[in-house]
Amino acid sequence: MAEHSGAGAGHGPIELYLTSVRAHLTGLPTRRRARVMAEITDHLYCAAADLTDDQAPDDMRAEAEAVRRFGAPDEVAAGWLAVHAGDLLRRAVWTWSCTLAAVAAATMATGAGPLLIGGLVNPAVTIALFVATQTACATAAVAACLVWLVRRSCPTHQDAVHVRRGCVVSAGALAAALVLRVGGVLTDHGGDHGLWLAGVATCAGIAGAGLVSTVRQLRRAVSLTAAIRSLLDYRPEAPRTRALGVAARLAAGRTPRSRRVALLVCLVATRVRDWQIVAATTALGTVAAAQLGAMRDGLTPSLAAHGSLRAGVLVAAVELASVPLAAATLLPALGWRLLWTDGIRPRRQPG
Amino acid sequence: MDNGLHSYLDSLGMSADIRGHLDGLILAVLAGGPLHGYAVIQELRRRSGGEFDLPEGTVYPALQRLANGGLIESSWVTVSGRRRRIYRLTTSGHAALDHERAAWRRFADAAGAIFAGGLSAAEGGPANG
Repeated sequence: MAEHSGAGAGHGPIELYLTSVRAHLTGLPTRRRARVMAEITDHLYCAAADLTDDQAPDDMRAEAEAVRRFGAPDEVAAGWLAVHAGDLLRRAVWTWSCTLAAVAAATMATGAGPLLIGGLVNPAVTIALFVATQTACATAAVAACLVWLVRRSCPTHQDAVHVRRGCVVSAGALAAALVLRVGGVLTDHGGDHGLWLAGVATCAGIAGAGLVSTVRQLRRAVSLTAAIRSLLDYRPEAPRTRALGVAARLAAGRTPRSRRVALLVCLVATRVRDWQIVAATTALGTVAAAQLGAMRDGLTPSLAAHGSLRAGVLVAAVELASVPLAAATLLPALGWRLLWTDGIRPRRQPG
Repeated sequence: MDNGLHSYLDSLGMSADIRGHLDGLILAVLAGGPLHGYAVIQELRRRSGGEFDLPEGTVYPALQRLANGGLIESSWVTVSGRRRRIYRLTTSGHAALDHERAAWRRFADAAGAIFAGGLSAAEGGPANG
């Protein structure tokens, strides 16, 4: 999309200013950013044209004055990001709410029957799978409360992106669970395994998307070649690699290959986001939950045969533990910190 | 005006008078016909006799927010090889403007009465003797 006319093209004050503003607007979606840049470009060239006639006889001085009057790039970008944060949050909440309503309706329509998939009979594994299901459900409930709580707040752009990612992950996981559930019901009634496979594919897709996004962020955030070179020389220069230098030093004395492996592990560990961990773990948990549904009926007779009261208490205790487990491991990725910082209240300086 | 944009404008040092009424001022300017962003700023400056000399970059987020709220709508045209966004009031925007005008009229009348009473007292002693 053309963002400026031929007039003033090159590296004049306006072009330099536009480059700076564009860099500060990286939080906006591509299309919106292009529209914002088009508006700013048009404004600056109009202002420069007026100033050329009035107060600044030459083009460069007129452009410089137009840029000065428009405002500092970071402040201009902050205003746009502040508006976008509200849009982001509202869309995320609506998407999440619609998905939750669809899952609830479909669950009621298909009944509460178990998913007859798989052939695991080990009670310990069954309990583990059941915990995964409870964790996912508890997280979904808490996330629903959280997003409705913050939907009318005035978040910063980073907070809004944070919550949006959490909503997307949760909605995707619930959608996958729904597909698995429906597939299981159909399977139970003689249907094929197509929906079940679709659910597995959806979960794998969520995890894969998280992995791809992580790799892309790593490539943007750190020059891997430069990071490896500086750390192998034990002279980290960039702030981002300074922490990684500590880890590399721990591997000092080992082979160069092991140092590179340590570097890459630390690079991933320090750059992966909470929500990406959630994407992978929730997807795995959802797949496991599909197995669990088939095992609930299998579990009950086993419990009856092996002391149902003790096993029942154990299962209940594990279920209760799964709720704080959900809060501790998944809420940070869903924006829980907004409740304990001033992110949920109007901030003085957005962005 | 939502608190996010309010805080942003406050951080720029924009006076409370302008900040609190920016939406209404923009709607009033657009009531005269469709304009693009630069023209809105020019018109604000002209109508106020130079009194409202806004940081020019502040108007566009406000325009976007008004568009999000359905009070104004926009379209794109190409002028001199550049894309230009033209804004115009919607029906909701006209209603909102009427509401703003009425509210401002009430405020101005009330404030004027208070200031006028104080001026009289200063000139001739307490109004009640």
